[in-house]
Amino acid sequence: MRTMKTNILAAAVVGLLTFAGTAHAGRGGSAARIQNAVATGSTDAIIAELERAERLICDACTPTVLDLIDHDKYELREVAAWWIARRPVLKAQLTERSTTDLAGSDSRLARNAADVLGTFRHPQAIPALAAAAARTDLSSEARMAAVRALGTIGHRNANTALVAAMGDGDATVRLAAATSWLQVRKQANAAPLVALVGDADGDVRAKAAAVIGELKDASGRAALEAALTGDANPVVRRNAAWALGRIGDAGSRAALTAATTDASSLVRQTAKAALAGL
Amino acid sequence: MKRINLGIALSAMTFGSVVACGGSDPGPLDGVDSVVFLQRPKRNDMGDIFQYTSYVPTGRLVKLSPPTADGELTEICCGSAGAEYQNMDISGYDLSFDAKEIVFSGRLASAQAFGLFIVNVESGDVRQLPTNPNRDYVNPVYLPGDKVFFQTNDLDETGAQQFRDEYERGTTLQMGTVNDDGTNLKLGPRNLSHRVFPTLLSDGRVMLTQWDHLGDMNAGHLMTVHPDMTTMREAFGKEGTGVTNSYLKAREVSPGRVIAIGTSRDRTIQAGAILDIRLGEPYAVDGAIHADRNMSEDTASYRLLTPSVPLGREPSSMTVGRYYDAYPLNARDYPDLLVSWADGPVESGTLGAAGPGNEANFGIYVYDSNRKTRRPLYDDPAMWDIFPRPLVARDAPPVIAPSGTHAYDQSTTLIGSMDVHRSTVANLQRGSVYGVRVVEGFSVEEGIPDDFGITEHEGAAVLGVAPVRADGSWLALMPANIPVHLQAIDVFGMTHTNANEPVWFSGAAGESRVCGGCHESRTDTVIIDPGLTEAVARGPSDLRATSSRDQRISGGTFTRDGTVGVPWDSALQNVFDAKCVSCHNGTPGPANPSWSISDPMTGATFSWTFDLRGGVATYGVGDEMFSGYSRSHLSLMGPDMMELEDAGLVIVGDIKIYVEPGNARDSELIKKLNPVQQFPAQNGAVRAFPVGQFPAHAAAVGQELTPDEYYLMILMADLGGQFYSRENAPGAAY
Repeated sequence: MRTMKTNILAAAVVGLLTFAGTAHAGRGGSAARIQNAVATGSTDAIIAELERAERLICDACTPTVLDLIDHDKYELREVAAWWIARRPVLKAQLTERSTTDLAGSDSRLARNAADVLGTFRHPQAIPALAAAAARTDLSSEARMAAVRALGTIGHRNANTALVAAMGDGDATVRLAAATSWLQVRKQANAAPLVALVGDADGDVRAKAAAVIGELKDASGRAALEAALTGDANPVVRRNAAWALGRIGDAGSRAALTAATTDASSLVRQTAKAALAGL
Repeated sequence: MKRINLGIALSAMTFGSVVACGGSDPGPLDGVDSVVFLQRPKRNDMGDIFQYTSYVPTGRLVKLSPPTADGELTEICCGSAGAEYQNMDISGYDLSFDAKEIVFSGRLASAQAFGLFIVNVESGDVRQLPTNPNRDYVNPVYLPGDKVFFQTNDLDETGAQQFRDEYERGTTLQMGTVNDDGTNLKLGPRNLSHRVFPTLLSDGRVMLTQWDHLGDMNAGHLMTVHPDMTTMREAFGKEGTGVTNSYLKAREVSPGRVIAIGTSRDRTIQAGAILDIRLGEPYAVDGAIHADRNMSEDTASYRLLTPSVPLGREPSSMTVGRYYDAYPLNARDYPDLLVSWADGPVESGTLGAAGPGNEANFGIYVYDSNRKTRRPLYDDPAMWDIFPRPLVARDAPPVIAPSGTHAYDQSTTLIGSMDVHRSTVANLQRGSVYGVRVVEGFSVEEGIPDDFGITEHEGAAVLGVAPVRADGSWLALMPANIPVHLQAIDVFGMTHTNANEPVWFSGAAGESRVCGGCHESRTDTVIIDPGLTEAVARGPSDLRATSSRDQRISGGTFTRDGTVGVPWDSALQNVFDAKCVSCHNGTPGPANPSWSISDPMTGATFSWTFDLRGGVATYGVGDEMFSGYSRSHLSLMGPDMMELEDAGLVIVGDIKIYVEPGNARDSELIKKLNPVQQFPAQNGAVRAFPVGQFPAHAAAVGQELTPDEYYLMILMADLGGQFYSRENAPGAAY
């Protein structure tokens, strides 16, 4: 076993030494290095080599990078789209293709398209992404990707679509909507998330409470107090306590005081700190 | 001392069994009852050295007692802490001064962020510090005074997003402190890029790794900062003192001396060689080597303790491997170290190619840096055994009193110099510096789709110019908690040669950051005339000090004092359209030189003719074209020459780069225009360069620019030649 393992590693070293070099961020890339990194299957290696070839004029790189747009890993789809974003002809072609895919019936292609358009981060993509996020014939993964892309773009024009996505039937989509809401620049309030504090999914409830807290939206106070005292999930209760501390309304004192004896240590310390800040 | 043969030990580990090795004599661990360390499931992809979100359940804190082969491994946290902790991963920790508690960064589940927790070493009781659940809090370090220093991607600016490095796209980590009871959480002034791996020094300061990224500068350096997050200073890695791209995971050996990992930015699993860094002049104290005399980057030096380990990203070889971290056990000239080391090619691509099960396997060793030998202590082949340190109490450093606050608006930061002419990097003749221009930096989080333009420079917003007084002093108030860099400018508004500071700095609200000069000698004492500097006597210039982010933007017109950003398409293009394009319109000829690039392999060719009109431009060969952003942008900034060379393309004709990013003074465009005086008052009769040598082109052809238009051109060049600014960010919400 040891011999085989050593041999594999040794062979890999020989294969890679040819392409190894001193680290110069943004310099020194090549098609061979990208292809070699893709062959290793290492996410870190692939990302590093695409970053190194950020501005490399490299026709030979293009097919390899385009293949990554369809990779199973989001990180690789993202870095491939980032690399293509620097190449306007390719970018325009991919934008057109992605917009078409987003409107098509193949959920995997729609997912990839959403990730591409999100990485390109142009607000012009918001209508297409919003439409995809609302389509029940697409998979939840594709809808989630569309909502995630809206957050990545971070423009307030996405708010309507994000609110709609908070009512999606799938928890991963609702969670992405809550997460994306916070990524919108100049986001002013968290009112649409108050209802999610009572969501059926614990991760969604926890995220909603945290977003309300970060945005200090006092309209969520009653829902947060109810969650703090009644939610079965300790992470939700913790986030509710933290959010109430951020909102800082003295009217939350009773709920926070009760939470200082919560069964979970996650909640107790947070409640104490929140009380100290009231 | 009984030593285990390293080869035998490695063989045992490779066969997959958990081993605890070593003899009955612990050597440099003599007197140490236990070693505490972190176990994380092995992984191969965790990002470059600045990334922090890697999550694989389940990590745990353990102790080995005694730290020998027959020692017992005991879990400290968090298997018995409750159901909510069962899938926790832990990324880093620190031991309290009395060795009774550990603060650590943990992530309970993939849907959650890293938070800060404190566990009692004896009882295992664990509590969480109440940090923002939306944001990651990592790299905790105990501070004297019952505080914890940490790093986080949280921010304290309503409506803004944390800086996001446009190059590697990571959301940056910044610094903060919190009381160990969870109260009084404060976030510090921000860098434009990451800050990682803090450690506490015996003088009470914190050392950390800062990613410096401004234009072509792109590396991780060691910095020091006071525990109140003020007084950030360079420590090692800049100014030619360094040996590799990045330095991280520093640990103090003795006053003025640290051990750190030196490595490439990526593909090295955040591991590398071990460096013994002396921040000042070394001297012996009872057999220990200290280096806290005359500490400066000028006097700093280093010693490579693991000479065979690559400093770059190439795969390490068998028996050489890479070190994840190191903890000094003494302060000998060649110290003994407690290290986390993995054998073989510790390089993500190599390990990825080897397939699942071949992730780097970090184990715990005692490293004799004099003999260059490792003695294995413990290795679980399924886990990374990292960050080992003796479980012993230590003296708390002195509490450094919080920096005093300035006397002005406490929401602002006061910056300045006592005598700007004192400089080790620029030749600033007395009287030649009109003022200091303060430039705010930002990144793509403000709605920039991909890059700011052809150049490597980040987003820029001019806060203003503080005049330099007769004694060389200047003083200004600027917004707190934003990264800025400085430019010493002349009366034409051009930055002096080598006086465009290549790093960002920031200050806290109420903080004073006044230097001796303009990157003055770090070993000299700045002496000024008795009494106040003239700048202090006159009071500081207000450089948009109380303006919010969305107010720090140019007005409708781009005047000398009203220009903040220089949006290429809406500021510069108007000038080109009105006064340049009648001649410079892409028609080949003397006014519009051409150049070509060709690919000798395919014969594909691309040609470009100088053109100051607007409209989309691309360049490249074959199917792959790069954005030139606009015809005028590509014509003036030129293609990326290094990448043309890297691609093996042949250049036909003379590609003249008319704008040198960050350097208006030496830019062909500016010389050609020969701009007029800007300060203290605009004066069209006074030119920057001898007219006989540099005829003022625009004036000569009857298309004279206004003084404001000249200043726009200078700003564009000195700021880096970006196409995008806040004013024309496609995704801006302003």
